[in-house]
Amino acid sequence: MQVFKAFMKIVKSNFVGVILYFGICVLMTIMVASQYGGNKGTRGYTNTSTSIIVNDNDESELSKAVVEYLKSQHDVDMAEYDEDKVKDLIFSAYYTAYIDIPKGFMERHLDNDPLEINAVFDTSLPDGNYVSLQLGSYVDGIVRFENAGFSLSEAIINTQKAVEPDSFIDLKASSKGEGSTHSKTFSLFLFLPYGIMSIILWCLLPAVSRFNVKDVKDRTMVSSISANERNIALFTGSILVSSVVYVGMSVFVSIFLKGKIFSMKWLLSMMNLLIFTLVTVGMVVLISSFSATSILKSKDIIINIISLGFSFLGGIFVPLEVLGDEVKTVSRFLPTYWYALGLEKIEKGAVFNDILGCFGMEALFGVVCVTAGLAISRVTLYIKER
Amino acid sequence: MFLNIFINRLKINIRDKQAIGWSLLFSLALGTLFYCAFESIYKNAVNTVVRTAVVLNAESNTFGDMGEILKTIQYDDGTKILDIVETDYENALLLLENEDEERAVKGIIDLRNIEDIRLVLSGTKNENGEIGNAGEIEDSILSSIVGVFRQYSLMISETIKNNPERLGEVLKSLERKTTELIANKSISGGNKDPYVTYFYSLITMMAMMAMMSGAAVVESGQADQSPQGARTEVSAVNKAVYEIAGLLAVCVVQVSVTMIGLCYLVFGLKINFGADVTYVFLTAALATILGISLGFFVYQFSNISKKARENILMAIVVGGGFLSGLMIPNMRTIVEMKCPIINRINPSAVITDAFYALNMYGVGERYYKAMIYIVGLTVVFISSGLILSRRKRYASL
Amino acid sequence: MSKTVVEINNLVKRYKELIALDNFSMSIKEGEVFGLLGPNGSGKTTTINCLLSLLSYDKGEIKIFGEKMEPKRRDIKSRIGVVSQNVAVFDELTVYENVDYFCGLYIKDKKTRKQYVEEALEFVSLTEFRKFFPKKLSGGLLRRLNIACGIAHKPELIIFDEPTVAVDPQSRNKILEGIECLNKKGATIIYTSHYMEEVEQLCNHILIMDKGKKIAEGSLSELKGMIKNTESVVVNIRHLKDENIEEIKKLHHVYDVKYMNNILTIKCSGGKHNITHVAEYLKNENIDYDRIYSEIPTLNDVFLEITGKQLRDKE
Repeated sequence: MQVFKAFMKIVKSNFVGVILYFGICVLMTIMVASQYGGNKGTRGYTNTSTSIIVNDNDESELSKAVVEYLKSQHDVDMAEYDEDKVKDLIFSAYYTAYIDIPKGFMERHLDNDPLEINAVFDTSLPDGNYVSLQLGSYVDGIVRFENAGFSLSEAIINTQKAVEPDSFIDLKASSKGEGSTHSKTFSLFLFLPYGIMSIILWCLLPAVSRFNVKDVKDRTMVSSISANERNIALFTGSILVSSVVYVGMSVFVSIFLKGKIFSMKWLLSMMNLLIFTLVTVGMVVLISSFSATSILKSKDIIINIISLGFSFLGGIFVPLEVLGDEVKTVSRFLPTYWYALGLEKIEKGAVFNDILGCFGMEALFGVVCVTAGLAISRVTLYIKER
Repeated sequence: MFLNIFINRLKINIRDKQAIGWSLLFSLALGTLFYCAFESIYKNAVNTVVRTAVVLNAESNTFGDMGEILKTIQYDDGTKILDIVETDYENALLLLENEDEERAVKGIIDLRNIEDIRLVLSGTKNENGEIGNAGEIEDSILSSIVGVFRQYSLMISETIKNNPERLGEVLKSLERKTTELIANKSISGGNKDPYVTYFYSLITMMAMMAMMSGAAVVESGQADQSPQGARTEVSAVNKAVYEIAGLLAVCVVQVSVTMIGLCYLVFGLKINFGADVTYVFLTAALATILGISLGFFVYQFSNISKKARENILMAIVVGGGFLSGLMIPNMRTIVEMKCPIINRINPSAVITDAFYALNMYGVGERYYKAMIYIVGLTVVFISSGLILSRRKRYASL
Repeated sequence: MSKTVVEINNLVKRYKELIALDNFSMSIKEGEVFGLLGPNGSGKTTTINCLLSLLSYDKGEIKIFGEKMEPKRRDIKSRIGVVSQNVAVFDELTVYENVDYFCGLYIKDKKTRKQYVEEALEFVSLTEFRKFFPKKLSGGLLRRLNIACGIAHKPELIIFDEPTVAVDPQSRNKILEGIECLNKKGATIIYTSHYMEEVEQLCNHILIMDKGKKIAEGSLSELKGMIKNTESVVVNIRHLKDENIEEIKKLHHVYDVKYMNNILTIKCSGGKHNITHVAEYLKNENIDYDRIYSEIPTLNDVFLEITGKQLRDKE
């Protein structure tokens, strides 16, 4: 009990770090979940929608029609920015394009001396090109209909009719799948491993390592507490802390999922997260089998390398589909990869055995960590005894 | 005296192999991981040719040779948009379903009925058995192109119906290019890959982690923080001299560590920072010194517990890193839009902005501004630290 | 008449409600080995830290070498050496580099410094360990390195704050000899320790403090004169009746008698032939005994009698 109490006190002393990592995780999850939105495009066809800025200097019937059209296709923010700001916003992918409709656009258009609409975007990327192409064809359509003798309002209606995708796109069911959008459950659960890893490592690594510092370990070993009792106390403490973190994270995502909890998707995602939480405890066992003083001195760097590295490489921060094949070969050795893949399979409603396979691989990583950790501890002890 | 302190502090820092080792490992490991994860993302996202099947018949070429017209459509950077496969409808459907990525087409443009041009795309069935397509960018581009041809078709049919006398004029106007009314302008910059932001953040984090060394200078020189500090403080040395010599030694070691990490990124992984590497190195060096000065400043507040000071530094490194884009690359821009003051006071964001300015604007006003800000912050932190640490009596030890 | 090196007048230091130093005063003359004694928490280390201007204080005055001591008085600090209770060395520097580093905080001239460092290493017999890193040194060697770092710049006033804690007898002797040697060379020493025999051996002036106040001060003999007990007569007796104990208590100069585990301890205050009186009584009463001997009080007895025997850390 003494070991357990002391362990919990050390864990408690790291509370500020827990708040910080939890805060980051909360912010990230909220932001990313809001970007993913809901169940877009599961029925019929919808064009790609991006975020763009439109600056309408003309505010004429024509310019307003253009703005309305863009609003029907994209998330439009009406604003005026200077060139540098536009560059910042587009480089950081905060917006795809900046559309600037000049003053006198309609007037000059009626005078047959048209002014150009300025479109700023990264011309190397298709998203901005698409917005420009779409805008070009819309404005062009209006002009051509007018040239053909239609009034402006008729031209606008006709152009609208011509470009309405529902009227000319046929969808054929494919087993290949599109898979570029995900449900809220998927989006919210995807980012949790970063928080789980950061918080659990931040709490448990220093606490376990403190008990592994030679003098403390020796003093505990010569006391009336047996090695088994000590290890059980540390293990119980670790499981308790991990459970609290797991419950905290689960409650947090479930609040956002309101009506979707207790669905099969939610239950499987919760199971996936639980396995990942336990795997993280396994990682603690492995890491803490190395020099305790080194771990205590460099815990910040170790935690960052593991949590960031695993998240980037395992499909947490960067979707698995955009990672190269070579990268994925390496990623297969990480639990985050199997977590993300498991989540992907849950999302797609794959057969239970497939999902179970991912869970198994994830758990295997944890088992390997624990086994390796125990083996290293044993070998270190053997070397010392010799 | 200064030289003696400097040399010995240099030895102390160089011989702290564990701290140096972990710092290097941090940059090498995360640099490699970032490289693996992001190397191909931008390259893959850059304008790609969309393989498309076109189904034609005799009626199709009302506006000219449609196959040829489609082949000439380009992105703004001159890359061709479509790779056309002229085939019959049945084969086109097979190509749409083809598992072989090389042979498969993204969509079918069906031009057999020129009055009702159709686009066939693949979709997935939802839980209710309805087919859906959320619109990948290639699908949307195809939809946009087909939309233009549908306009032409609609225009001709409507003209025949309403103003048949203008048909010749209308047909002639179709020769004009679609995008003439839009002036496209690309954002300029050395490396437009937004994923390079992750490497900015990595260097920033390396620089910020050097703050622990700045903190160590304070710890070794203040009586209430270590026995060595007590010995230093009862000695005859001028405290400012001691701390400046200590800081200088730390700077030499930590800047070298950052440079080694950066060399690996620039020469090993060949990360394109979009600017003359000399300035990238200069920025990283000054960023590291800023990190050291921040640690030096925070640790002067000895009335706060050591644990609290450690937590403050951790919050600056991890929280600041998050807000400057370590986990989400456009986070700095989001903060800039919602609460710009945070970007002014978050040292990580200031450093990241300097790298960004260097990449996008080159060595110019904005870069100089960012650098002056970094140097200014460094001077403020160091001078405030020195003022706070002036020889004093402590309330308790 | 020798000069006053340290002068503390009416020093008051409070830690919130706790009064650590309560109008404490002391004076140290040049060439003295001044023993500062007191139980744990009595205010010894606080006094030293105030003296060194590390700690702020609420009231009082501190003068060293006749001048007011302040944090900025580097001229005064350059004449002081401190050997702290904690080993204050850098693990990353070798023995030589550590001494050189700390000496360098006082001595600018490289050549002089080199000579001083060599002398300091020789003084603590660490010359052969000069290239060792502190982690490779035993506890005793580490303490000696700690001393070398504090005295290398040849200070006039050296403060030793419990320098022999956790050191084996051989190393302790070596350290004490070194301190005696430093004093002979002209240094004034302030020495704090819990080992009374060390203070008894080294110090020619002792101050005992408790609860932030001075309780007693003087030379060893002066201190011994301040306590009631002047002689203890100890007798090994197998059987003794209670009435005999009562009768012994009534003997001249006897003020306390204890009989435990076959040992009779008789405490006497004053008188010259107490052992003879006790022996005569035992002979007259026909009481057999194995051994009888007399003990004069030690500093330990002085300390315990003045400060009391109850544990201080529990207060």
